Amino acid sequence: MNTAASRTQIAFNYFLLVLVSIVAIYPLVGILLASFYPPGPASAPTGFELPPTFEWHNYVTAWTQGHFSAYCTTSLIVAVVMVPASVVLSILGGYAFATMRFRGANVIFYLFILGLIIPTEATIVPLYEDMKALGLLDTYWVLIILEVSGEVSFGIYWMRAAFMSAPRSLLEAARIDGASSWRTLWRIMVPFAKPAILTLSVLTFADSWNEFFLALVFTVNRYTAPMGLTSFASKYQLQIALTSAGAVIVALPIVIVFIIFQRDFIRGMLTGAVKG
Amino acid sequence: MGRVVYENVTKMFGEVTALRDFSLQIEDGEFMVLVGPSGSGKTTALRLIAGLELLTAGQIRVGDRIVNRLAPRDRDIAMVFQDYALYPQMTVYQNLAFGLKMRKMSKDEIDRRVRHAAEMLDIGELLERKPRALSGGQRQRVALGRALVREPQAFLMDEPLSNLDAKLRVQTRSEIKHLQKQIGTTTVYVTHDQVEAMTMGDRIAIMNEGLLEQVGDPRSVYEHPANTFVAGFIGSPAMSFARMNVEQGDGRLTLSHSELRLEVTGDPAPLPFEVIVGVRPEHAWIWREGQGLRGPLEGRVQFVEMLGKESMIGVDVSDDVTFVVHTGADSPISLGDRVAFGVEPGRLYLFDPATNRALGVV
Amino acid sequence: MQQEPEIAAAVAVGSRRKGRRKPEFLPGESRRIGYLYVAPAFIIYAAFNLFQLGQGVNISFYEWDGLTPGTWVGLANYREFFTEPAIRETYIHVLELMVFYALAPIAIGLSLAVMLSRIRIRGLTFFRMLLFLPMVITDIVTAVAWTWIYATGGGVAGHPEGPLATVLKALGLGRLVPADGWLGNFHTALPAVGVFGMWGGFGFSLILFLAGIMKIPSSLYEAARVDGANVWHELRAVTLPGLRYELQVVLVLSVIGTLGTFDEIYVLTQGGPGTETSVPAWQIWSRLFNTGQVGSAAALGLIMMVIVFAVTYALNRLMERGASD
Repeated sequence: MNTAASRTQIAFNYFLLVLVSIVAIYPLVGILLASFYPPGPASAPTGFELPPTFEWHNYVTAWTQGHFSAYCTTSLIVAVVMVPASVVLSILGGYAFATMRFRGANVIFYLFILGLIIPTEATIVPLYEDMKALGLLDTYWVLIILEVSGEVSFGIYWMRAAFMSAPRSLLEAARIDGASSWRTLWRIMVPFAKPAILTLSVLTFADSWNEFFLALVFTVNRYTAPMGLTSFASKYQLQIALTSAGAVIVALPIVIVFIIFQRDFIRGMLTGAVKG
Repeated sequence: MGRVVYENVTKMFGEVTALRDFSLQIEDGEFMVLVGPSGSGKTTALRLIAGLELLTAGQIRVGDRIVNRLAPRDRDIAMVFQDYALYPQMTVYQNLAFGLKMRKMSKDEIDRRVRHAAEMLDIGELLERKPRALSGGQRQRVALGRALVREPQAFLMDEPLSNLDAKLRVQTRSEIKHLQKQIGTTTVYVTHDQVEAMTMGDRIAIMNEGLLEQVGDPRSVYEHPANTFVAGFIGSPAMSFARMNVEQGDGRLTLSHSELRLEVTGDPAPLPFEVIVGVRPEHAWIWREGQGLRGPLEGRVQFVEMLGKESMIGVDVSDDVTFVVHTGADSPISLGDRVAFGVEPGRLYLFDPATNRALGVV
Repeated sequence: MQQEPEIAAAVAVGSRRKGRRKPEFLPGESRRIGYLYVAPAFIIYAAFNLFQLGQGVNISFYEWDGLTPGTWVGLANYREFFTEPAIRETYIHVLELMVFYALAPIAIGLSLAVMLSRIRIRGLTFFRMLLFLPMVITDIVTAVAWTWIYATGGGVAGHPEGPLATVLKALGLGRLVPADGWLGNFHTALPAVGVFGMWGGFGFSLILFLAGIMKIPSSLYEAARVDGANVWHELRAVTLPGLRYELQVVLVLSVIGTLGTFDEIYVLTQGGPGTETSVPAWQIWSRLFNTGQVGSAAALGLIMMVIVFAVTYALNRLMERGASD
């Protein structure tokens, strides 16, 4: 929709764009800067000045004494197991729904879709009791299992759509060539759907890293990164600089992933519409 | 023995009948073309041989084996798809080798076959490229190659030329035909283009709405169409049709329609009171004495199509009955003129209006 | 965990329209192998999601503290939804939040998108990245950032004043700064949370609408202009109808998302002051862990699910009806 716009119009528009971008990142830049202030309540950030000195040391402190290394490690372990598991399960399920015929396929698919609407809050109480009974509280496994079970609904929907977009003749050629369904999936369909798989992985990782509610409910000591941050923030209310450093540490991996995979990430969010 | 036989094959998709009691025998080494408009069932018929669809009734044999319930991979057939269906992430070599790998062939044997096929199709230099780096014509040849390396009992081709531009299509047409003659494998070829069918097929099977209308070699189908559908489908420009009344007697036959009268000597078998008369444009000429033409018939020129070496004239003889007539390129005839034309003897096709079946030629 | 109800609704609508045929088996095709592929995902999903629905129903019929055996109370926990003001309050709060979390971002995003779509934007990728950051980073982190923004100093020694207070005081609007901070003041707490949500959502909404407008063929605008339409007519006749899908997505996402608000409440206000910012998810968590009302928490969770279903359905019907106009 490009009309011939005047110079002032163009300038105004860019001004607007810059303005809203600043609004969007201001709080984030704020904590970034705050993280460099000297620790302790005395010298506190006001939000408009550059820190008097760049205390990189805050990060070391947060990492070691603040235990953020442990928190990040926990989140990482959970993510590293959970993302491949969830993506593979989604690939298998999505492939079946997209290419195979079996009785009740529709019903099973709709059961998965149901999972998209079931809020965590509806199942959290029985889940907690179950996990308590299974002795899985405060482990990596409880988070991994629950995140996977929560992600497969979206993942299967996503991969099914991706596989359905492959030309039917591709599958038929593979059938005639004598490839089994397994071979066809991994040799032909997965390479074909690589972009979709990448997007799914990135989104799944983001969901895992950012997950808070589950961690809050199911962990006692083995904190994930977001949990560690809230715990630190409430314990050290006066340590704004250190808390900010912790916050940056927690945000950094996801920001890096986002910057690298920006296109896929955004495309996934716009089409699949996932809440960050 | 690479024969392919359809025995009373019926295929239904839910309520829709795609193929109706279809029987056809394709001989070993034959190039059989299934041709017809879209919805005629020709593609379904092909896919049934491949095993990409399950038939509802009847049998299909490949090489004397009944293959109804066999998976595609066990039927010893190879297929060339309309969109080529090349595996996008594999090189040409890998594409060609894939089917052989799945059959656990030795690496040497695979290599031998792939290179042999590549040489036959002149794609030897493309072996390391990926499909997206190939032109349409090259992709098409890779698709052919994939079928060749399998050395099956039958090739199945689903409109393989329709995605090529016109010039390439003509060129590739003869290449495929030539290749098939060389290799000698039974080939079932589907197309909607009757020119392709006529030029490539040893025999043509004309299909319409799930039924087999006629099967025969190109010449017989052209000269002796079994019904109006075949007559109108084969040949370009298409045959012109008109309903006419019949008066028979004393060795004379008079066909009339409104003010038109055509008198013919000859003694065909008894005809119904009304017939459908068909005339091919190539047998209808602008009237000139002494040519031995039957006629003259008169009408007003509706359209003129200049085709280079000749012109096609659409003549409106009466209430929406148009005959297409041809004449030389330097014709002064123009729109709206009143012209007369005649038909070569023995080229008036007569059809029964009730059944559309051919009754004979006069 | 996500809530993507609009996908669910779209899938349901789509297949209803196509009239699915009964599956047909192909020669040589195994009829059972599909189950094998689906099994791993389904087992995990059913065992840790579907199964719990049934369990939840069971638990909801008891009054239970999670430690000692519970007592059967039938539908008492559900009746509480209608009798106890604290519970209804939570839904009223989310309704208020929806103004900030859904309506505001849509309005802002839409107007900005319309304005910005008139020119070709260079470096859109860069701006898009910045505008998406609030949604990409976990809301724990962003909420922590906002506690710092909302800080008002005073009281606690050494507790610094955040930029918002500083700016207002500098502008001479110091009286707008509540003594107990925006997050601690009974009147400003919920709106303060709302503003956080508004900030978090407007970038996504803006980019979504901008992308949607770009997809509208310019020929439609040209036709409208030829027909003599002014800006408002253009908006109503071309832009808004063209953005139907995007509007639906953002609306459903943000409304359903608001229902499940939790993380920011935990960081910013813990449901307080008092119960001013209590939301359904907070209630559930609180009853599960703090007040030992496990049965009630289960019931509330199921009620929430029903409400999410109903709202999703209603929204999708609404959007569909709008589409057929």
